[in-house]
Amino acid sequence: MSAVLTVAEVSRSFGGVRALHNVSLAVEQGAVHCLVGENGSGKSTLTKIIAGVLSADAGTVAMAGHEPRSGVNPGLAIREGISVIYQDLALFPNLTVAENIAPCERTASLTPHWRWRSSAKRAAAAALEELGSAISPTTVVERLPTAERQLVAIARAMTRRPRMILMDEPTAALTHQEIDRLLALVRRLRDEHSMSFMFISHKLNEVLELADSVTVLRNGVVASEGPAADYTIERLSNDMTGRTISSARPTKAPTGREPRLTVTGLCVKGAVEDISFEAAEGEVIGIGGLLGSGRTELALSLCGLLKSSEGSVEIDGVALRPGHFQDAIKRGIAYVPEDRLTEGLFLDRSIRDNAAAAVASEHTSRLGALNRSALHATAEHWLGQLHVKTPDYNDAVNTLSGGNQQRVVLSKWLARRPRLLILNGPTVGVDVGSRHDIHETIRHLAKDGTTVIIASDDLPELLAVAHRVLVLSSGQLRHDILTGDLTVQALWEAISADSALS
Amino acid sequence: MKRILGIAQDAPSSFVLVSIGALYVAFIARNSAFIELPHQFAILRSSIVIGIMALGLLLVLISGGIDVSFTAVAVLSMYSTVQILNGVDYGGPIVVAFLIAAAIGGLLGLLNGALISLLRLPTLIVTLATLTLFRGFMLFFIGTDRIRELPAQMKPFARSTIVSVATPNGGKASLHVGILLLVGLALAVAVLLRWTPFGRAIYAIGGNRQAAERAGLPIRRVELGVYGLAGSMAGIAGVVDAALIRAADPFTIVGTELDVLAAVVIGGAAITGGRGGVLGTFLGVILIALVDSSLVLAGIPTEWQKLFVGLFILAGVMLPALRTWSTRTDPRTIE
Amino acid sequence: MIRNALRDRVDSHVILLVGLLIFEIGVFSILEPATYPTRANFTSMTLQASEIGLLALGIVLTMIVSGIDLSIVATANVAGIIAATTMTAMDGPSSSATATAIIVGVVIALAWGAAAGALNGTLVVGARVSPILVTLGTLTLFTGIGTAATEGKVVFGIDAFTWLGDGKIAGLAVPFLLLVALAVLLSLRLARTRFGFEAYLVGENARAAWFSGISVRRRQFAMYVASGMLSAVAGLVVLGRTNAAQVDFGQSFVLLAVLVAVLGGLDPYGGRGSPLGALLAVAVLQAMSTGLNQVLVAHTGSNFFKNFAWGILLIVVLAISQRSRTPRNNRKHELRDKTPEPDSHNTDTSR
Repeated sequence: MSAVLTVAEVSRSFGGVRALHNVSLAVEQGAVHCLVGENGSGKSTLTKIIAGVLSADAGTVAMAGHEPRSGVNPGLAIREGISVIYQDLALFPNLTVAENIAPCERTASLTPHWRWRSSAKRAAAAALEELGSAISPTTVVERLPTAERQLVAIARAMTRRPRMILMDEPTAALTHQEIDRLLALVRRLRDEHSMSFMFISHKLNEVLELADSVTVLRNGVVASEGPAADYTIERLSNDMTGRTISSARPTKAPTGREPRLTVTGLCVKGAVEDISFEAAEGEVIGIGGLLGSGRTELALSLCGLLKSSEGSVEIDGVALRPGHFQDAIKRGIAYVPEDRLTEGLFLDRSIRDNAAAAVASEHTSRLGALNRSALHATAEHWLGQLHVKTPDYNDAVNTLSGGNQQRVVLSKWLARRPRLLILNGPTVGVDVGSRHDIHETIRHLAKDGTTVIIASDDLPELLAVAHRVLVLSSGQLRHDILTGDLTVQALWEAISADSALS
Repeated sequence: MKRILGIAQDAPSSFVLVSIGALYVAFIARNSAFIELPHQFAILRSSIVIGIMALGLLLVLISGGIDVSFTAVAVLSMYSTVQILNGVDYGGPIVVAFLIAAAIGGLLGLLNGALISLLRLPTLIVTLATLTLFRGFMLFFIGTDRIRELPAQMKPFARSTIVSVATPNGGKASLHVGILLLVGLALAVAVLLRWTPFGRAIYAIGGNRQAAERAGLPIRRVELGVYGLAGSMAGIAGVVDAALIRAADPFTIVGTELDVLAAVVIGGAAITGGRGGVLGTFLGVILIALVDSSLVLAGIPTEWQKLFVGLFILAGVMLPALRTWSTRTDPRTIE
Repeated sequence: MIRNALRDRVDSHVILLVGLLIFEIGVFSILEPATYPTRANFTSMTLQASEIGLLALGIVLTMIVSGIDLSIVATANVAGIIAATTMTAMDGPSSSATATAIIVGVVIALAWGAAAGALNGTLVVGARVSPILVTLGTLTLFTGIGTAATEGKVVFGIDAFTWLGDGKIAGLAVPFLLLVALAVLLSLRLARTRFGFEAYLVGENARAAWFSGISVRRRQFAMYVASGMLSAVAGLVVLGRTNAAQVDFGQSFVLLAVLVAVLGGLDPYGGRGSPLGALLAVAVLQAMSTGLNQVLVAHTGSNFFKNFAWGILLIVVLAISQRSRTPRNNRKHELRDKTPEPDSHNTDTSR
């Protein structure tokens, strides 16, 4: 067998943050190569470099029979036979299914192609049939549900008859049946057409079921690699997370405290069903579950960013107005969003302004005058508490590393001294040191009486800070586990076993 | 309510069609002269110049940009074309005038496109700058005089009609040949948008720029092409305008940016890109021409016209917002 | 400290503008030593710059929250018409009647400005229509209201009110003092209040602002109302200077006001810029326009050379200031393409 794709010693940094360092891997002809790693381990960056939409600082990517390359040229990558299915699908919402699958516009030629509509429709219908889907090729993509859009993206990749398809978490939004069909299709294309696949997934059982070979990334370097037969779920999760970090444990769970948060029969249409639980003062509760399990939606509905259709959320015995974020904030809830760059930070503003963004109201006189020095003092106090390392708080926040940026986002919210802190993936794309510090901060907060809810797909993280983990699957609360002596392995089984049942 | 809005969503032209129909009924009820041929021909005639410019602007809007400099491009191309042809004492076919104007307009459009991809600023700001730049350039370096002596072949063109009908009161109603030019260009743009890879690429870029980039589309080249074509269209519109008013007036057209933009937006093109078509634009142009030229006949005082036009434009631009409201049912909007 | 100030883009932009202004005054003083560097000329320049400056302030405010207001001139003209009509109708022989007429006229004009701004704000923020389209639409609508009210004719004001246009305090033109006072006041408000602090954050990243608990839509709405009121002030100044109001006055001022705002260091994508920058920009522009007029006075169409020069100036200044911020704007551009309504979950969740 020979390699279709060879990645040789690729490195890439973003403003001082190392995303990839000396990563090498090879995808064999007619094989499925799985790339696994935690969020922020560098998988997406590697995907983009292979696809030619991002350049490598060092190292090269080469398709068999072509020159090694390292620059930006997405068209070239496609012509060399790489098809990428991105996590965000990269579809054109305003065009029809047929045109997304078999576009007419690979070039910018002015020559009319009179029959492209019918030929695109035929090609699209054929591709969709191959996937076992009954989507009409004439539907406009923006009217399709997410799962069907995913199929359209896959169909589009297929029609290019590529030598290799790179799939970035293709099964995240699919149902079990759809996943089975997709995996069967991947196998068929591999066996019958000798096509190669690079498959990125969080679902480790899926990886082991499908892969011929595996590369595990951790913090931007290859943690381990080898034939899939050498791996077990346990080894995969160990290699992904590194054993060292999971040693820290939460401080003792508080006992005999009044409940601060009471959730009763909470429902969000199409996402979360009938969830009830309580969280006491000083308690840290983890929310675990795979992507699409309702994990994020539960966190959002607790602070009114998502409108619940039924049930209630009470803080200290008083119900919140459903779907009213500002009300939740006034009642002492803080929400730290998942996407730091678009939802958490004002990238061009100073570090200090970012940390001060949520507390301007607390330093305003009755006439509206802002007491800047007091505001700055508050911001700097919390930046100091979180050990944000910078020569100057006047620097723009985008000069900081991912870990320090996340500390700034946390400072912003801690400055409000929240009674209930909701964190969504608080250490995604954060270095080990910052991660450790952030966990330490969460433990301190809990000790001082703050209730913390942390939604995360990072299992060692949940075990490191949470007293209890609520396991969600298909929008339902499946388990409420005390973390006491729980292992990563046991928690993983609780989370993934349920997804198999559904 | 949802049903009604749903119709609007499926056919972006339905608002225009309903409006045109309603206006016709209202106008006929007010004044039967409205439906007679002279006035109908006048409406068509007044839609020629706006229509040609609207076709160019349509391309820009679909690609996700906006252009307000096209009026200055139109006048600059027309005025310099007339000067060039008068300078060499040209007597040949008028098509040469169109070609020269299209070339000059195309170059100015390319300049727009180049500045936009170079500066990476909102297209509104860049084209506002080139609007004043082109205009100032023409009025200072080329001239400010109204030229009454047009090149020889433009006079016959100015008089050419497709049909002429005698009116009962002894006059003559004729449909200007320029309407054929508008229809021809509209067909060409329709073919371009519907059947050429270039046209489909415009929709793709306007729909999802990042995805277009990842799919390896030559975004910069397409954008240059779009602004270049918009410039060429404006140049042609400029020459037609000169022929219709039988003079090269450096102060004509400028000020109609808003009418043209309104026509295209009312016709269903989204200012956020990716949406819009020739048929809708054509209807939008007719609607604007209808309102502009018929309110007097309907007995609405001249001074009230602008108010009605403003209301129409606002209603037209509010339509996409209504459309979003009617489809907003999913509570999961955070993603 | 100085190092930090220099590193900040706004400050380097101010240095650029001050340099340009000194350069212009120098060059034109050499070219036209008899007419340019004179007290009379500077007074006339400050007077001419005031109206554009006032209108530009409105553009600045809306652009800070990543919007734009193109209806400013129409709002200003209608304000002038309303004030002139009211004052003429209420004016009486006694000075107290005149004073009442002026006060009522001014109040009604300002109320009109606020109402016009509120309409823009409601459509942009509430209905989420693109601010370009909304304000182009209201531009026509307001012009229509003005035309309908006056039949397109000139409306005359009362003599007592011309002080606002012609008057001088300590040798300085009243409109100019008004402009400087408002620019300073607004700059202070933006720099020293919670409102200003949060408004800049809204312009920088509306989504993150919303997640930080800032009432994004209230900040945006307030800017449109303020823009409408500033336009009304500009309309009053025009009424004072010409003692007349007219619906098609100063059509090209919209463009000029945008030019001034962007020239003054305003980021068209929002989040950056100051009314004082616009003040400086208006000075740069006026110094150039007046200078070119004097130098080219013999040339036909000399009036139009300044349009050409404005366009060049805007593009060059944008190109220079763009170099220092390319990476960020690329990203912003992408974000904007994907999420035309950055605070979309705002209404969705509260509805």
